[in-house]
Amino acid sequence: MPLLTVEGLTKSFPRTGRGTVHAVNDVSLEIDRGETLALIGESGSGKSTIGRLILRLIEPDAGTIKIDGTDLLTLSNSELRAMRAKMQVVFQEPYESLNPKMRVGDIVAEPLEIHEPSLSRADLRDRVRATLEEVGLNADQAERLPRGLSGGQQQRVGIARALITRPALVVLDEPTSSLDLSVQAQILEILHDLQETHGLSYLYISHDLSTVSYLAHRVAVLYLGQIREQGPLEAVVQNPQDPYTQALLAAFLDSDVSVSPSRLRMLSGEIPDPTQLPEGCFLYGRCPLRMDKCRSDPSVLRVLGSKHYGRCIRAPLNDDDWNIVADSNRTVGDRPG
Amino acid sequence: MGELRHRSGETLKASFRVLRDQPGIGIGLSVVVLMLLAGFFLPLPYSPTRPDPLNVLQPPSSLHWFGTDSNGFDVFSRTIASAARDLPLALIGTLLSALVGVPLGLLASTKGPWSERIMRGLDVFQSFPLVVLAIAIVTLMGNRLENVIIAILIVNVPRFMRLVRSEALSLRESRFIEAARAVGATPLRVMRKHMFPNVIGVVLSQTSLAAAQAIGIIAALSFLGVGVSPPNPSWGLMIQTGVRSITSGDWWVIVFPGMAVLIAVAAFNLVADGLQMRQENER
Repeated sequence: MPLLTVEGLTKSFPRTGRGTVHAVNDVSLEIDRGETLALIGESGSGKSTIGRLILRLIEPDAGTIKIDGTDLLTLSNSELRAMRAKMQVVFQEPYESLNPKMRVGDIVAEPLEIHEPSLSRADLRDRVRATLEEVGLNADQAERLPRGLSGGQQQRVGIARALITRPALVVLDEPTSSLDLSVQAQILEILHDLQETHGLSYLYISHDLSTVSYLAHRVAVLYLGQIREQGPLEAVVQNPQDPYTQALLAAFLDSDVSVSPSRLRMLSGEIPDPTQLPEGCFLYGRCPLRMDKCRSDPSVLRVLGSKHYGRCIRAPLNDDDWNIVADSNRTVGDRPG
Repeated sequence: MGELRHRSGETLKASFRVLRDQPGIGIGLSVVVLMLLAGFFLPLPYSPTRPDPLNVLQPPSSLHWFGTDSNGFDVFSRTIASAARDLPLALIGTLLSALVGVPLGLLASTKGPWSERIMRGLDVFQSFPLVVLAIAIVTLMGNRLENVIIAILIVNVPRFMRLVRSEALSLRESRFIEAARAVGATPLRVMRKHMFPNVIGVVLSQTSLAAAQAIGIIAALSFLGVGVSPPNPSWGLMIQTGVRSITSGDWWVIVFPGMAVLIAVAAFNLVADGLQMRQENER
């Protein structure tokens, strides 16, 4: 049984005066023990909202979220609070996520004070020290205020706080995107090592494919709050089967992702307004491969390979398809193949 | 235990640093404390409550340093003795306002239908000029010392509520509050451990600002004959007596208690300014 099972997760937000923003639309996913699922997509695609919904920091409109078979949405407030020892989060903004008036040691100790109130002062302090050291901080940095630490150190504090209760699932909401490149690498390494040692499951939310390919086992590609394609890292990155995934990978050509260049086509236009979802396939208005069927047929995830799912009804997309379409679509300003 | 001692040492060091960077806080506080000490402990040359009808409207001299008023009270003795009454009243009234206003403000910052109702009620209440309202209410309730404190509460509780509510509303959206919820902190713990320490700074500076105003309110009330009643000494009461004498050129009756009010208000404002500067430097 997977550690986390999410089914039919849906959330919309009222926008004052102008309809509802459909932020997350019927998202289903699973994460096994010790596994990292990366959620990738542009900003506004609903990545962070999914992370918060899974942790029940915001309430979903519909769907089920099960951790270890426990349905989070049926829990009472106090049961949910107890459950939070098993599911943790590391936020994007390291400084903003730490209380500026609390010392590092107290910040890291707080989850233990809540979930293991019977712990003695000495045991508490030992656990805090051990956890700080585990994330590469000095035990005497426990006396500092967050303000006195660098961005990378602050993020280590955030990770220590998330880890001290030995959670099973950690949501990593772009944990490195506000850090320098060299620091990013250190943080990713720590996250990787911690996963190995403790068998953690990660939901890794990112728009940076180079970090995704370092940390992720499986990838889910998000567009307009909907999963376009989902599968093992290699399958999705080497053999993308959705025009959106292909376009997203194209934007990362200069990273270490290697894809056949003939598959990298740009989409036309902008992301549609999330208050008015397109009919049929969400990508229809922008897709170079579109057909009339894309509008009329229901858009569902289909099996494309081993654990590989995609929405595009033209999948499997092979290089020949692309070339034909590319030739017929070629106009002035198109990138040369 | 050792850690505890170490920490209180650190707090002490931090307080010294604050006093060095913001000397206004130290100066203002010392002035207030000196005034209080003088009011309670300074031996007075004359009784502040028993007039000497034979020595009316004497100008300042070596016998009567600040002169005497039209009833024969020694102005120096009364000005000093008033500090023992007006300052504690102002402080108690302000602290009570904070004690009532801060939790109510935190409560009003929570989501829910009736936090909205509290705020609309406050709007109605605050659409009256509060000082006038306070004077009217105290006059109606009768001339008692507790009513002066109620007047201060009427003026200041809504201010504390609004201040704390708006601070809390912006804090509530902040990432570290979300992080606290994510680790399983109860709403009460979030309020106590995360909201409160982050609003206490502005509350403190508002408290000393409110104390300065409370001095003014007390003076205004006793000037109008509400609150402290003669022959008990109060700066407002003395100013009222002095108003009658100023037309005949007997300036000392009004100037000395007026200066006392000025110094007390300035001292509290200095503290408030210093605290506010410190807040801003921290951000």
